[in-house]
Amino acid sequence: MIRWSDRIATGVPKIDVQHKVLIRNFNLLEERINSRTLTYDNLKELLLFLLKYAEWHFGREEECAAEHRCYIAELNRRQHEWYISRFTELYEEFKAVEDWTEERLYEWAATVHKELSEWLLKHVVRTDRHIGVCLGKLKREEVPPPEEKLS
Amino acid sequence: MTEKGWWILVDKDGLIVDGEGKPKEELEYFAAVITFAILSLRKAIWEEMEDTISEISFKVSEKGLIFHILPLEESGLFLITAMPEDMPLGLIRLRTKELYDRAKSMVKSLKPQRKI
Repeated sequence: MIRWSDRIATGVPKIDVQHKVLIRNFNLLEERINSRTLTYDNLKELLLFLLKYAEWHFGREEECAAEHRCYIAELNRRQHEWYISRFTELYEEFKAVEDWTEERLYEWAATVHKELSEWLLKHVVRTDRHIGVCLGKLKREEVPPPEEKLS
Repeated sequence: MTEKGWWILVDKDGLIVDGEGKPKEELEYFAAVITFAILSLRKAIWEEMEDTISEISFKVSEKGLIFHILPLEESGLFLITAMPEDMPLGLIRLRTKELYDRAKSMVKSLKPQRKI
């Protein structure tokens, strides 16, 4: 489970509130995997929500970074593009399988949850928090240096 | 199960300007998700029908709540109310209008004063 803390906060309320939505829903996916309450339908619904919400949130965040001429804007945009393309690829893979067994569905969901949520967390800490620096909410020395590749 | 009602006034980023009826953390989550839904719906309607949405209403049966979403003209804010479905319809309308008027006058007071 990802727990909200200062370590992942950007200090920018509109960005933090949207990150909390993504984290809450990745945690919901993990909870469903652990409690064995995952179904094909609720997984599909959750993945689609996460994908669409991430797309919307990234757009908002990119506008904010561009508006403040943030040094991280271009890197942030490239990472978003990579994530959406990877997420879409995984979602298409999910829909293409016609004969999911329960075991396979749980295994696939756990792998996907790990990959997508770990990437998101790294991205928030290593890239998004620099937006907080640009907006004067965080000090540069409080944030680890950005990295081009996160996976 | 019927829940008690709640309401929030949110901006286009999903941030709460005002609200009451639920713990802050829960209202914040609703605000962020519902704003995303409203803007997505609005975008789809505009792309398909070249028109805007003036009001959205829906019911969440399991919780016994009736939702109303009302945009506040040029302010870019939305009023979202959730009222118990066992409340008389007239009272729901009255309470929603009361909150809408209150939000409108609040928005007016937030606008910068024009220099004379």
